[in-house]
Amino acid sequence: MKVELSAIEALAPDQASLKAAAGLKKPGKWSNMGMSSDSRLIWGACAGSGANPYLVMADLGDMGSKCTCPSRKFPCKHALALFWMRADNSLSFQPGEIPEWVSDWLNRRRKTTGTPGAPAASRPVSTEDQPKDLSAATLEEPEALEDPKAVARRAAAAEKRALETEQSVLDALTALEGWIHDQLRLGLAPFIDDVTARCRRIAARLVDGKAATLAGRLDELPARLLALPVGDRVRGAVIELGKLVLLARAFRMDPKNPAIRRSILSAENRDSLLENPDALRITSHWEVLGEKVETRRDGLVSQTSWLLNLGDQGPQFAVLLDYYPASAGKRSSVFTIGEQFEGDLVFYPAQQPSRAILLGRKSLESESLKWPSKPVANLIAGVAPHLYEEPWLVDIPILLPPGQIMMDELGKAWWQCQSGNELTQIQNDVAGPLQGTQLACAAAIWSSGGLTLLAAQTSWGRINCVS
Amino acid sequence: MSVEALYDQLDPILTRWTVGGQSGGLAPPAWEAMLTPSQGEERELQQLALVAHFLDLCVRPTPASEVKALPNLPVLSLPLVPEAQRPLVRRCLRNSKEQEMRRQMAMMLVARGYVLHPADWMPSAHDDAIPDVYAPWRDWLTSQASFGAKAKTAHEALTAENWDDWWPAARLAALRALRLRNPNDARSLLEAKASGETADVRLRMIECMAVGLSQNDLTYLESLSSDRAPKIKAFAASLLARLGRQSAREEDNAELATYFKIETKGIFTKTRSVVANVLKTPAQHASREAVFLRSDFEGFSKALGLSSLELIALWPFGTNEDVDYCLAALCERTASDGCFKALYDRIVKEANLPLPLVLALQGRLAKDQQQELAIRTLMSAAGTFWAAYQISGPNVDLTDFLKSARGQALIKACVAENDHAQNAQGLALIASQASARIALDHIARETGKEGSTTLTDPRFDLLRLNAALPDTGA
Repeated sequence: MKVELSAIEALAPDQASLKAAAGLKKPGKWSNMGMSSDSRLIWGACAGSGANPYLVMADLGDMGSKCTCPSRKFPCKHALALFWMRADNSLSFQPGEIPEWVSDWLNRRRKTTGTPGAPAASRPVSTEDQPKDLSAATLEEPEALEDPKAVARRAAAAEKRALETEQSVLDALTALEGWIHDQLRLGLAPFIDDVTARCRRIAARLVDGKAATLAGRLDELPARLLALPVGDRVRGAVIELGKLVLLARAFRMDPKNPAIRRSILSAENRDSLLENPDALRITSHWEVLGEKVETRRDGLVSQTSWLLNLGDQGPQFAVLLDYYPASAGKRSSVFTIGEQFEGDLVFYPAQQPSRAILLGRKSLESESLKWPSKPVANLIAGVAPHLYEEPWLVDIPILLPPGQIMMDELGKAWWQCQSGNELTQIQNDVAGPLQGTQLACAAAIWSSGGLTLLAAQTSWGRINCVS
Repeated sequence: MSVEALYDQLDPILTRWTVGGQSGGLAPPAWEAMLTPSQGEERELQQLALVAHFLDLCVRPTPASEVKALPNLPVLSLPLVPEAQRPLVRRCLRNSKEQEMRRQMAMMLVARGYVLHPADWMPSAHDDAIPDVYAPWRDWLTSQASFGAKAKTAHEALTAENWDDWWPAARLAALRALRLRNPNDARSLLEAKASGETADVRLRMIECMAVGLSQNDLTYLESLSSDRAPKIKAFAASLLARLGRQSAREEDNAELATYFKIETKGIFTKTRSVVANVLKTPAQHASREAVFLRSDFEGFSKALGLSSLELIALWPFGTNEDVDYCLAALCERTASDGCFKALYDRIVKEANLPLPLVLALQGRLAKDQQQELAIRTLMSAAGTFWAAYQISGPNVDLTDFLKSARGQALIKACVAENDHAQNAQGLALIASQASARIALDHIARETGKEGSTTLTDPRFDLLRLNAALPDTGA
């Protein structure tokens, strides 16, 4: 099915969108491209500013489209670029199996309009009077000549801002430690009873002090604490507050450390990461273990994906973390849990790198790959290296040795290693076949003495533990 | 120092922090060298960092009670859906939010010779409508819910001696299988053990007597007329009626007869028919329906002065759908096998088959009869794949039907943009694998036309699954 360039011009909300779409028509930005056997549906993943690429899909029958980016324009620049590449054949679309995220979109379209082939529900919003012109959008603008003095002024201003930011953070950390001391002085029992309000107040102070990531951690602390059984909350509060002290001290000792700065201020942007010579770049085969989407108190939605490295090189796990505003609506998942792919990842520099961004991926040609056969001997052996290097870490992915799930009389689930009697509480719901089989190997997130199982290999094959 | 010993030394610190106050002087002696000597905020925070790190790494919650491993989830007697088809299975399950639709999908797969992977779907412990192949999983879920339940020993065959060793779903499945193989042995077991079960369980067990019903069952069924559960008494009465023992009261049969009269029409050729009296109020309609439920077929025929076969021959099907349905239900419940066959032979010749009438007979139809009526329904003007599926269940050969003009018209209906997904689902559930493949070919030709949906529409996912499953010879 063909797309006319004139149709793309008509569809674009404005000339700026066409200009932006022209900038996206580069092979390096796109992965996982394909089309349905009747060539009516096309899709692809376009690298954005986040850890995961945006998923873009279109129905050429009625020029409907969908993209997971947070843009309010419809169609967005990614969708326009997709149409454009199909129209001028600048990138190849191979016929293939329709991915789940495209199928889910089709299903939702059918349910809301009743007619999958109906014209798109909303018209493009025109935001300006400038006529839309594809050829004008592809013209490159000449680079402006830079004044050397202006460049120097900008560099000095940036350095001054960096020093001011560092001082702001140090002041905020001082306030945080004073606040923690107050909680000990006044009692952890009353702290737990009033944890949400107290954490909200100190989180606001940290935001003022430019410690945005740390503020988010304080905002999420009440949920983590209150998820614990009542009898375990004092222990949980001591661990949470103690980790904050350790993190604050680490920043004072080494404020330029990128991993520590990332835990307090914010992560480096994508371009800085790609330019960083210390950023580990690994091409390997990966398996998607699980995904978690949470709405935070600050109005952002966090989307966390855990990947298992099926190869020999590089970190055993990768964590892809994206944030987008809750007002942008629900995003489709980038991955299918359990899928395996060949992927190019860049890790944020750290003592034990785990957070990464995905540059590109392609489907596996071969049969499914087995999990690496190097689980930890026991839990302590798995988490201790991480906690010695970065004792403030909250979640640590781990590959568990053979074990099984045991149930107590209250219906709580516990993981027991096959080779010992040690029991570790399981923090997520593992009802169903997991309770009736040996776990040859399980991937889990360890957090303050408990496990969240992500996936397990059993006699029934691979079983997801998170939906 | 052991972890336990150090943890004991931290107890006073944790207690002080819980209620509030300084704990600087309570540090374990081994930590003094690491801590700042002077009491105050700095020492408290250092101590907090050390305690937190120790608790995080070395101390874990322990269960408050005994822990147990559940028994292994049993392997079922049918193979799992092949791994290659599981993504499509999961998509179909995601698109089927209602439990009933998922159950229908499970039944279609069983008819094709497969069970669902337990990670994708499991029945609930109390779902009696699910095929018996899933009984071991239902019982596993039951055992999971009862922490202290005694483990049951597995047995090859169900006997009176090992009756209590079976979990409920597996026992019922074994009883049904035994009734198919050896009706007398199954009845003997019921005579010996059914009275010890609750009414619900007893009813489900006694329902298996409908299979292989014979005169040998008379004595036991007559003993059930004094059962304490009304539903069991009613069911036993219907089976007795099928064996020729009039079970309804003569007064009820006579009362039902008063709602009808026998009319003779024609001058040269006299034809008789049984005509329903015209009723004027909803209360009269309700009374007639209620007395149908209390009557039996043989007794009703006698009250009209007819034999059962005459009643069937003289009934004017198609003039009053409500009484047609009631008569069909009465026959299904209480008529002898010979009468039921006569009614089937009469109905199958009718030009228009109202679905409710056919569904009233469905419980006693043999597989070939179900398929015959399903195809007849499809051929009728108002027939749909979904209606036909309700009559026959899954795995029907539609090869010849799909070639017909009516078959082509129904395919077009499935593909129409404004069609509900139920037509496509009905087709996916009823079709055999060969029929599913033929249907997909027809659909591929129709999609993309004006007013049609696309081949990639998720409404065809279940049909694609049916077509893709390798044939097991089931």
